[in-house]
Amino acid sequence: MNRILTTLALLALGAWLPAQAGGDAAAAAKAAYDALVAEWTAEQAAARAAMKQVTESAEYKAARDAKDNDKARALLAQAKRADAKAIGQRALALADQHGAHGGRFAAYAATTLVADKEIAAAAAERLQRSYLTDPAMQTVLESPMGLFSALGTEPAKALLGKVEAANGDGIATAWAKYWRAILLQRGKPTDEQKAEAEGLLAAAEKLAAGTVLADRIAAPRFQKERLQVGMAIPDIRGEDMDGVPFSLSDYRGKVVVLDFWGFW
Amino acid sequence: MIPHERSLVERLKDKPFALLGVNSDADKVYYESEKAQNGVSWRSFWNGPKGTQGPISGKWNVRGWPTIYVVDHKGVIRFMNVRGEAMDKAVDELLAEMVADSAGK
Repeated sequence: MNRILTTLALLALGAWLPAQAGGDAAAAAKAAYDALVAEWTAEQAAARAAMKQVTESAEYKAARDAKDNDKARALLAQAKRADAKAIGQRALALADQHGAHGGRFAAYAATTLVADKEIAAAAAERLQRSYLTDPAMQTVLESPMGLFSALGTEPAKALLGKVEAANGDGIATAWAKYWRAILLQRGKPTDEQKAEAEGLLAAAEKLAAGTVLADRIAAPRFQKERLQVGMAIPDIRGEDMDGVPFSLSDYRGKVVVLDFWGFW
Repeated sequence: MIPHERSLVERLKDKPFALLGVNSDADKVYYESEKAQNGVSWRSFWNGPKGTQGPISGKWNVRGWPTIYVVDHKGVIRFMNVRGEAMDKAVDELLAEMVADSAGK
């Protein structure tokens, strides 16, 4: 009896231990990721402050007033910049270190740290090798233009093709088709490329029904059919910067300037 | 851009006029600090944490920033992408039209 209980306990422990270890590994990866993001955010804020200090200095203003562009550029070059390469290398090392839980590091390098071409290429390589179906791939697919311009069009298309092949009819496939269409439409597409892009967009819109991607694909149509002078403006329901919900239609009865803007 | 919008809002603060933004700053902390420094008083929808890739601008096919729609008191789009003096003129015209409209009733 005792032996049976012991066996059962050991079996339970055996089932529990790897699960626990997996949870710990995921939590450790998340913590390391948050620390990396915080560090990069702080470094960028410092770089922004350093740049501002230069642009507000009397010396810089004098150079600008004198139209001495070389001097102005030299002064700007002195400001300490955020080092995307250094932090990118660390992100990639962390991706390798965390293995199956490392997707978010590769995705971060591929979206946020693509100012450096080598980092972009190495991040793309890791995404293709290990993280094609990782949830972190989604963040890459939502804003990949920086990665694409660092990689070049053909490697970008190859990456997208692999995402499609790996993700079946999932939303990642819809995004990959969408971006492949955008890449096909760039420059001077042939009629054949235009037709291929149309087909990809139609397929992506269908796969993405009800999501922001479907809205985005429908956007040129929406603009043509709903956003012309003389048309009733469509409503916007959203939240203001303080998180308070409101609607554009709340302002009916007033003259309204609707301004898509930002400080960046 | 911003100084002009600020003066427009200031000039028309007692009129039936509103400047509404769709703000595409991904970083709200940065937005708040710039808002204070630039005297931004108008209300904005937030385009979300993806900045210019957010859902509102995505649906509206916004490709250039800023993109501007001027809407009359009936909710009809009357002008697009007017800047500076042209924006002032458009708004003044629509405010005058609104006054004429209510006088005619």
